[in-house]
Amino acid sequence: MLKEKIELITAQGLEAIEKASVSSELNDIRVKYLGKAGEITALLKSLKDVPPQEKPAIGKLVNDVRVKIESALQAKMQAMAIAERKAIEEKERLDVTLSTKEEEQGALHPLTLVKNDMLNIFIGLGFSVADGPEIEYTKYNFENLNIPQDHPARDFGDSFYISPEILLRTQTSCVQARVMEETKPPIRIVCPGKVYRPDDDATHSPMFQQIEGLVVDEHITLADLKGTLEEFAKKFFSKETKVRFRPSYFPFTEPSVEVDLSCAMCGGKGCRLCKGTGWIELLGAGVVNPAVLDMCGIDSKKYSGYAFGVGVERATMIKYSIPDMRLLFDNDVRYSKQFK
Amino acid sequence: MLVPVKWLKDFVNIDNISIPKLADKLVSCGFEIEAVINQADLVKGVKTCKVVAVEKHPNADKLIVCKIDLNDGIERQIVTNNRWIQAGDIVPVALDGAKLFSGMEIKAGALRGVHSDGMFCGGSELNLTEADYKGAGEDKVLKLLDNTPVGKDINEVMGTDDVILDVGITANRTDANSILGIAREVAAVTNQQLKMPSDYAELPVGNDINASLEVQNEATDLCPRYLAGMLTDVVITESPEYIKRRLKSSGLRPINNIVDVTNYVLLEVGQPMHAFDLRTIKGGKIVVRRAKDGEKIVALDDKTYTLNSENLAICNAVEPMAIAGVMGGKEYSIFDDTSVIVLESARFARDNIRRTSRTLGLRSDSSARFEKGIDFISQEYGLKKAIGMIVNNGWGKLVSGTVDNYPVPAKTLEIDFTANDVNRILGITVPQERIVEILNSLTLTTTVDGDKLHTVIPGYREDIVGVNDIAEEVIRMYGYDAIETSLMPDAEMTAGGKTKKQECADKIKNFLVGKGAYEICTYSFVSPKAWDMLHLEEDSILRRNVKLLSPLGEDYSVMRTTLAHSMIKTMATNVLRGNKKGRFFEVAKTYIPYELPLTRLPLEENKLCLGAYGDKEDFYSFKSIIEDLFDVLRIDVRFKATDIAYMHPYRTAEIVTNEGKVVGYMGEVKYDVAKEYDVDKRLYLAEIDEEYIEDNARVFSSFKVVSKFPAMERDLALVCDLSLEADTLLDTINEAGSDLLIESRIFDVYKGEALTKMGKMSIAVKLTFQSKDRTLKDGDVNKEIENILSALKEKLGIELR
Repeated sequence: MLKEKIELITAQGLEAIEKASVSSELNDIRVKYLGKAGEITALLKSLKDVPPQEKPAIGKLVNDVRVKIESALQAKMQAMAIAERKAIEEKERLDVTLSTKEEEQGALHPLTLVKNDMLNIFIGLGFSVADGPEIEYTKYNFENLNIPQDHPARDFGDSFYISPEILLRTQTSCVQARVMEETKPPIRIVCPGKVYRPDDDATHSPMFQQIEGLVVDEHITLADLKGTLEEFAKKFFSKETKVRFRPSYFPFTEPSVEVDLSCAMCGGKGCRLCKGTGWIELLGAGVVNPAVLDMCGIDSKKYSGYAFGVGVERATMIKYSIPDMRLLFDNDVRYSKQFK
Repeated sequence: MLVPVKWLKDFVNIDNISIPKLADKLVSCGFEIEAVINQADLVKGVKTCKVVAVEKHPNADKLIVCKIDLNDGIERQIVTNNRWIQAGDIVPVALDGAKLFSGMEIKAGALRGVHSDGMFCGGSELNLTEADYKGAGEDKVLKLLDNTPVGKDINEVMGTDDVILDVGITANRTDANSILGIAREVAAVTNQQLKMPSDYAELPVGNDINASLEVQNEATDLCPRYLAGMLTDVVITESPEYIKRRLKSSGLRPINNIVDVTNYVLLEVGQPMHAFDLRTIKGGKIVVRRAKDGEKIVALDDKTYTLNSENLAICNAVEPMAIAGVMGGKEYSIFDDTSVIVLESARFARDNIRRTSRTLGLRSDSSARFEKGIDFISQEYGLKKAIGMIVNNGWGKLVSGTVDNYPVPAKTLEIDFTANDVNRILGITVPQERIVEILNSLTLTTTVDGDKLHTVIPGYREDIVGVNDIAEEVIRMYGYDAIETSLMPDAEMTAGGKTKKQECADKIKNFLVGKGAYEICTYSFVSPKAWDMLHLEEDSILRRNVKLLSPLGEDYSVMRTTLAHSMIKTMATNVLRGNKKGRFFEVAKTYIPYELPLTRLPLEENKLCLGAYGDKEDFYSFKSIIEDLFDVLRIDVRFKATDIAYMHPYRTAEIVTNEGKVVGYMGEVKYDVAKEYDVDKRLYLAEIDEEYIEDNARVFSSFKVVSKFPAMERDLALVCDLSLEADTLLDTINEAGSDLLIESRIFDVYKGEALTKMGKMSIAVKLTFQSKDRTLKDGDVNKEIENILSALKEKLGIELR
């Protein structure tokens, strides 16, 4: 009799749990079966009337039903909590493709990016970064670089003069003269900076930046210059980049060379960038003229050196395919943003 | 320099070398080939033809139909309006597919219904002038001489079938600015002997010249050598074709035989020469002297030039006959009846010629050549060649002797060295025999004594002064590709890197990029009008700027003393182009003169300039960038209201350090100033002393452990005077609080009408208290608040709201 009642309660309880759809219903079920006045609680209470020999068996039955109902409730509650959370989350759905970005990252100027790239390569080769004035004495811009008074490069029309002895430096090479006057070998410097010449067109700007390199030590050779520049070219462009020297002339180096790099765009096959030659002229260089060493108080019998000068604008134009140098000074934020 | 290849062949046998190969060889030894001009490409497909019959045009009175013969058995006809053409005339004809000098292509077609196989050509269509061919200057079809072969290409007939190399010559190789000079290089680089043409006469020996000519050199510094020769019985005539053609190939205009000879020598030898009519050399005396101030001369270009003592003049006993090295005087030149000429072959100082040419605004082929620099050998070569040409052509008789004013003859330079000296510079091993061979091929005569080498430098190679120059001669012939790379194997190790300051500058830039700012780059020179646009006071020190003597234009004429102008301009450009917002920065120099005019270099100081605009930007958002920057650099600064000409008078602060040093300013650009740049938006601007922050930035070094006891916060609403500044309020609070007060922060300012009527406002302050060693009790904090409130009341009259 009791046994049947137990079975009935079990069946009804489990069905009610199964059917429940909100957590409040589950609470009601818990109260109905397990509460102080609940049906299972009542069964437990009614155990005292069961004959002693049946007590263990019935007691077990009652306990089983309690455990069954309790665990069914627990399982259902858990399932319901998950479902409810899920429903809330679903309501919170956002369109992830939408963007309301306001704050943004700025960008360095492309000339700074390229300049930093170059400096870092040379720093890796043991070069220190030096600095010098932009408004300079002709002594450093010309005389000490072996450019005598009657040299055409000193023409009034080829430099921005401020007085007969003072001008806007036309090249970072003046820092060579200054560094050598103040420092004794070993010297291994790169000097980035603005220089000025009266040209203004698609490939020239009246203000532009150069990086000057200078090494003075014992036994420095033209082959070392080539090695250094090759190392630079490989890191700046690509591992495959080759370096070619062509004879040239600068008053402060002897021998002087024009340095071509194999074209980064076509790999030397010939393209628009290299005008079909496979080579790009990027810098001027040479062995420091002993006359310059002597003028700066360095014994040219003991020491030798090399120097080079790279145009940062030109390298930047090559690196980013910029068609007109003047765009580098345009400063339209639509250009700037491209360098993020 | 234009080098006609045929002319080059007078000196060196290059028949077996193709033009591209020749060009490559020249490039390999240091001569850029800027262009290869194939003369025959300029006019193509034009041939000589004989008119065999002339018929009337059936449909047009003004046209005729000419049957022509090209010696190829094909019958052709040309319709033309040159009705003077008769049977038997030989004329140039451009047939179908021909290209004229103008670039025009000719097609066969019908003219008024009659077929024409092409057109007859005039001189201008063939790039010919009257000087090239008689009649070529006229505006009609060119009638050729009766003996002209028929059916030949016109370039062949006119001798305009040469190839001309446009050779770039580096400034050190003054000797190479001539056919002879280039020929020397070509001979060396193609392993051949240079052959001198036979018309280089010997300099005449004797004294006859002295009877009628004396040279008095009063300016040996500007004219270190003046060599002259004389010829009598001179015939002035037209030059033969080959001379005219060569002059023209090199871009010169033939005039008469004597003038053409001097020009020919200029091109071949590189020595500018001048011919005087002896009759104009008054007193039989050439005086080389500085001109007297105000002396005038009418030059060959018919213009009158007023000279001064900076200009060198070639004078007779009375007046200037020529502006030395630049241009002769019109009255002292060669006339049709000239019979005795004096040939001048001199060296003038190049910078003096350059200055004279510039100041007079007068350039000539002669001055252009002198500016490049002339050696001491060319005077003799030039005179020899000129005499040779005149005498060989029967244009004059040589007077014995020369006048050679050469007070300090150049010493021959000889250099002693070893192969090792050369290889130490190059970093490779060029064998000694090869070095000797190369130098000798370059006419740098080198002898060997064991491992000692001895080189005699010829006078025309003034660029060679030492072993480095020798090394360059060797490697440019040996080939730069032979240099194997090395990486300073013997040099001392160096650490390298940036200085602290340079690293700090990088850090600042990267910080600003993180704040959404874009780095800009603007010119260091600005327009002096910038100072007016910025409304600078008349006596503002920023107006004292360094000025360029010859700028590219007024807009680029003074060195900037502030970056403000460039930054406002950049923002204005962006606004005008429709860019809605932007944050910008620039790190660049300002140039502050110590005195004007400059007697020493000005102060160059790096400044950091910031600019921003846009709907979301305001004074405080802009200020927060700067506050954060100084936080990151660990420099304590305060912001104090200030007044700057171009900034908003109530929205501008100067940035002051703990020591009271002003290191910059920030704020909003004055409305009227923005308007000067055509902008009606709020622009924010800051300029900071970059040098100061680079020098004073500190790196983080003192880590603090955070208190593990809870903090307590209290908010106070305070009624204060409207004029009260935040800093004053917070300073007073911080002073009154003990070290339990760890932070005080304003979080709201309320300016309701009721309050402002009384000249008051309400400021809400959040105070945070925390102890390092215990949990605070209400009593602790209440005591603090009490102290703070009484200090506020006492010092600032502030009440709790």
